[in-house]
Amino acid sequence: MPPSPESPARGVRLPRPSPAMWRGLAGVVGLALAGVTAVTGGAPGLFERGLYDQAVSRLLPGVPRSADLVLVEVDDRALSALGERWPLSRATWARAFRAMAAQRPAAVAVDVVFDQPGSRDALELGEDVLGALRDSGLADQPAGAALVADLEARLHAQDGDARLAESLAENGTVILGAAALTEDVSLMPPLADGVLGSPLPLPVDSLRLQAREVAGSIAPLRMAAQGSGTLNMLVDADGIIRRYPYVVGVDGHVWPSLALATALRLMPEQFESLLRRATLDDGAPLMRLPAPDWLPRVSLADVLQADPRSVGLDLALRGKTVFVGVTATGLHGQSTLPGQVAVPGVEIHAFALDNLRADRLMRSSGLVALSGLLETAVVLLLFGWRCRRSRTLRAVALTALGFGVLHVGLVGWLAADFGWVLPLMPACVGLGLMLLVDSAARTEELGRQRGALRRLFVRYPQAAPVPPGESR
Amino acid sequence: MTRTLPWLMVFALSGSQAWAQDTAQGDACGGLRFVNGRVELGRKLEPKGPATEACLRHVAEALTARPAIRSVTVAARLPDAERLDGQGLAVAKAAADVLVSAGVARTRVSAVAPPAVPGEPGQLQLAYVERPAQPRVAQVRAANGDVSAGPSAEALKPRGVGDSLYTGELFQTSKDASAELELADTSRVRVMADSLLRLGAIELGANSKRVVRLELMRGSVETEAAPGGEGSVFEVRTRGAVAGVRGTQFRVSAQEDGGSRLETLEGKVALGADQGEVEVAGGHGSRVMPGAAPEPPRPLLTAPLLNGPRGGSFTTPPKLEWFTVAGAKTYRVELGRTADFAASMHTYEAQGQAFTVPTDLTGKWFWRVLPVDADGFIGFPSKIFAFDLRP
Repeated sequence: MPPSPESPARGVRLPRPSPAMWRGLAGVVGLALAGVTAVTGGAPGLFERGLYDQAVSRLLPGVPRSADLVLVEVDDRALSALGERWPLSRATWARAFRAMAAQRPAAVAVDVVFDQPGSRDALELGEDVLGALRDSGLADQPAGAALVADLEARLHAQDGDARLAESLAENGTVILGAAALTEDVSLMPPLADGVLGSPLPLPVDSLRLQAREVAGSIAPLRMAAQGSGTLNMLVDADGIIRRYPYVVGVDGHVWPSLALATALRLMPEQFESLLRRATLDDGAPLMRLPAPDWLPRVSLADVLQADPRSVGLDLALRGKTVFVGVTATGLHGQSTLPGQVAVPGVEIHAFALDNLRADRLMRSSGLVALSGLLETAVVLLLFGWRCRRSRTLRAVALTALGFGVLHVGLVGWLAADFGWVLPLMPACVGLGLMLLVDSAARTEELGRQRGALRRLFVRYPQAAPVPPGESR
Repeated sequence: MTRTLPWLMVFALSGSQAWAQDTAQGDACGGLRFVNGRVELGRKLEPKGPATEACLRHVAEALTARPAIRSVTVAARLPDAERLDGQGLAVAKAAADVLVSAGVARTRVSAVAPPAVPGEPGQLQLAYVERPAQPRVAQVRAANGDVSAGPSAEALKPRGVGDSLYTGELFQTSKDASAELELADTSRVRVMADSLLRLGAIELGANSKRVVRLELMRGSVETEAAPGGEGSVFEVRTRGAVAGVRGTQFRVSAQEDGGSRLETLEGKVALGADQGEVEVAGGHGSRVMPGAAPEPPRPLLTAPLLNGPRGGSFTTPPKLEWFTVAGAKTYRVELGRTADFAASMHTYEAQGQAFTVPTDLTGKWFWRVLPVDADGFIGFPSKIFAFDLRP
């Protein structure tokens, strides 16, 4: 049967894509991966987070032990010594801040939001009793007047919110926690604009952490404190915190985190540079991890029970930046850092401050992401060019290995020395795919040449050489 | 009086932000506002002086008028040089003493002296702690005519746009008034003239789950229920029936004879009574009389086709005309200042296919017509046209 006019003629072959084209496509895959990483916020990309976590937790040098940061922790011992359960009473907090104020710390950053007023049931009962005493005329008699004065003094002491406000004002260096509300339904009552103080003069649109509203401590405490900072973290989909949001955008305004608010309090002369660092990577740069036990700790029990003239307490707190938070079992947030390091949230604020003031922040978006894209393109282009010039598969494999080592070295060097986190996997994937394609093309070419030789020998058979000394 | 009026307007517009101002003492503070636990004054309060004392006395009056405020803290925010040796705290305590002498309980006043903001002059600041505020369940979005609300029929007080409404409150419209409420779940409820509505529980949960219960004691309401999550409830109760929304838009009327009428414009609504329940789909209506089961759903009348005017300015009141709808006994003509008929709405009943606009309705008006059948069921609204009356 003759072939139909529409069908291709038998024996005619469509042109096959050249190996160079396949290599190019493989390179484009790697480049596309780098592009996706760049537009989705920069490295580490989705498939290289595990590698990044291992590298940053095991290979990069950690934040060294700090001499001027200290953690005052509400630990199991403190709860046991105080005989209280969490949350602590306002009166206890007031005593704690007063005790810390006696040691003259440089700043006190509090990883707690006092968003509700303390209980006033007993106070209102006392006020009713006072009113009854006055109405009955007993207060006009000497004994009644003494009773009224005594009752007033007791009620004054029992007003935990007022005493806490007094201790915060007396301290003069306290930065309270606040919360940026990102959920539709929040447990905390939101505050109106401007209640955390003056917003930062920064553009809000590009920030990674955007919130609907902000919640903070009750007004008397905010008024008595030196400022407030948000306590939010940026948790990746795998539950690991790799970035710290130094600033948060709320309804057109920018508010500082606890770490940034504390840094601005400590170094007001570096306002501009601190803001510039805080806005790296859209306000949430990657962090260097701390070395184990980098932050000296003091139990709140010791702060409250020690003699105010204690030399040990003086050495621990005087002139230091004190972070206050809860670390008792089951009470602190389970914040997991790269390398599966679980630390209390208050420690993250502390080393975020240390990263910020020492400019140890790592960046991966913007110019760095573009650099990563270019570096990936250069590595893949150079490898593609070398592939064409290499005669053997072994040479190609060695070239790929060389470029891979160079790429990993460059990425590691930039991360360790400059804090630039470039994408690692896209170039490696591109190199691997290009090597695979080149290997397949060379194998096919080898097979084709062998087939041609075989056909040549079948068409022109040659007599097998006869070893000398044998007869035909 | 002329100076008081603007402040009253601000009070009406600011919702929960309560302003207090009077001509006699208001100048001492330059204005006074209680916002988010802070006492905001119209000007910065000097640490000392007669003007400060006058303002503090005014603040004390405002504080004692607010029993929900549990305590107040006075902060003397002074430059470091003026805070030394307890001077700052002494200034704050002196200010607190003024509050106490003006009637605030001593046990409710405290004084602090935090550091001042560098470069800023010294000033006094005040903050307060309030009992946890009851969350509002609705807000008056638009009001036309006399509307009032209160915990009981005897304690109704006038309300305006922006006012908050709380669980259990009664909301009433007078004979020529109407209002639109926005519920906490963003649903809209139009309360027609001469209606009395009790706001029941409105609960918002996770995953958009909500529970809304309204009790219509008199008159009629038109509801646009916001989409709710799984397990959501939106009910309008009358004396004899419960309309539970499974859709988006419906009207409920509590008739004088004790009956209830439901018209479902979109979605599906269950009309329940003691003797049974019917589901009334969109485009249908049903009613239930006292002691009887709900009637089977009946189709609502279709929207009238308007003849005109479709726009333009008029020097004399225009005649609004439309075409007959089969089954309509009368027509309800609605005129509003806005196209959503939320603001300044007027409702008239017309017997024929025309209605002449009253002469006092000058300016731009939107209008639409709704057919009404012999049993009082209101059909679908017509398209909306507008006219501008400029005599």
